[in-house]
Amino acid sequence: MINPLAALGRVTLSLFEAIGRVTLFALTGLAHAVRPPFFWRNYARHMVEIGYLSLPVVALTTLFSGMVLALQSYSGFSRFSAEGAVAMVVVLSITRELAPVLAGLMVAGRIGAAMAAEIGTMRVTEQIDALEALSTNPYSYLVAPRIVAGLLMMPVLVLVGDIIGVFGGYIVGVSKLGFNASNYLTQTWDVLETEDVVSGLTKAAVYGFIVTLMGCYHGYHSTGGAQGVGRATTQAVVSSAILILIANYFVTELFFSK
Amino acid sequence: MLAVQGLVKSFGRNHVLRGVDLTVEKGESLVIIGGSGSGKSVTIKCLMGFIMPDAGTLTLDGESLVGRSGRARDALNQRFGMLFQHAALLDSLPVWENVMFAPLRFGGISRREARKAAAGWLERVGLDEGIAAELPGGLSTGAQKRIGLARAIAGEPDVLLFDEPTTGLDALVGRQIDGLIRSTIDDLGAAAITITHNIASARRIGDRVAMLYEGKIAWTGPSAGLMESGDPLVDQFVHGRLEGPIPVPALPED
Repeated sequence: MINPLAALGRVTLSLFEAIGRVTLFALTGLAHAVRPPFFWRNYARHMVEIGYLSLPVVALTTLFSGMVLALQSYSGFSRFSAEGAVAMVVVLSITRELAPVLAGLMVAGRIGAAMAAEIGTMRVTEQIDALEALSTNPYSYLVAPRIVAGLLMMPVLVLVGDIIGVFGGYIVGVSKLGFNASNYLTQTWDVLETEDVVSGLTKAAVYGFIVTLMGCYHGYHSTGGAQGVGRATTQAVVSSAILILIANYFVTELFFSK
Repeated sequence: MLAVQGLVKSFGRNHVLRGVDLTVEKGESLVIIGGSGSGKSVTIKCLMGFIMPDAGTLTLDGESLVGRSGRARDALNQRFGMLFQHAALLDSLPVWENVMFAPLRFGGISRREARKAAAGWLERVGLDEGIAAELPGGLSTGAQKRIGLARAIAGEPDVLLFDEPTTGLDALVGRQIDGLIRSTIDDLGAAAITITHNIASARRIGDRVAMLYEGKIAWTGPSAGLMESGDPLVDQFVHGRLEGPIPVPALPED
């Protein structure tokens, strides 16, 4: 009787402990993002890494998601003669949900894993100790540039993803489903509200924060050589993906609950 | 002068340091020897502020090294130069930026000037300027150690710390690195602490040698007399004898 309760207590305590550690890590990272020294080259490097080099992956994902969405919604809506709603469904789904969530998950796989692996390797090869020996705070040099780059560049990435995703729906709608090009674009534009785009970009910023935070946190605390770095990489991707999906609900509720 | 008094550090029930006392004068080279797990690395990590000691005092010219954080610790660390066991060069930066990392941050010099100055430091450790633009990952262990040494001395520190400087090097390159370390200490007039398992290296680098055993300094004396110290612990360790006061775990019989 006592053992299950004790186990539950242990799990709860360790959960709160982990939340506390991550929160402290995030606050320290953010504090170093607003006070000097600023390593501008590192900021630029990570902005390019997230905002530019992730573009092909996000573009392909959102393009085909938009195309599939147009096909699926046409197929479903034609059962009750509502084919005209295809453009509306595509643009709202892409801007509100698909572009931010898919970009978040793709960036978690691409950037979160790379960050955890790079920082984890730096930890186990004493490079982080070397930074401290060189009077350089690792939070200023490693963590702050990555978190800021994630916060700033993910919305840019998702904005481009929004356009490409809607364009994917447009291509299928016009070339395959027989929509009039001008009407499709007009419907898309008419139904779209500022709130739809802003909610998606807010999600993107939150996901950028989550992905970079998890990548930095797990890499920074990796131990045990190559195996530890591998474990940190896996944990960074899995925890990012889970937190993105959880955060998705709360940001959606923030914008759209009536 | 660098002084360590009553340094104590435990990790859980593992009492690694039980009261270490050391002093190193300016221009003096002290080598700490001792078996694996004797606390050599922990001592150096306490000096650098990577680990907070449980008790004891660490001072540099009378200024405490303990309990400093943030900018105060950064300012103190600028007086230290450290060569790590595996060099610990920053993978993402070219060789010249690794060497000039501290002067670029604190020396008020431009990147162009730093690039030029790096060539001088590389030459000083026996490396050609041609590797300045390369990333360190593709270089040999010996070259990485030399670059690590160039980085440690580029800020012209008051204290030099060397963590197992000849690990992973063959005897010849190891001997070269020892020579470089010794000449660097003499040229800079810095206080130096080296930790090593390598007895030949200890004799070449050190003016004095201290043996760390069971978390305390068990013996200290001039490096010239290391092989004939008369201390049973030191004799067993430096001559690699299995019999003596230092217990050696028995291997399973076939």
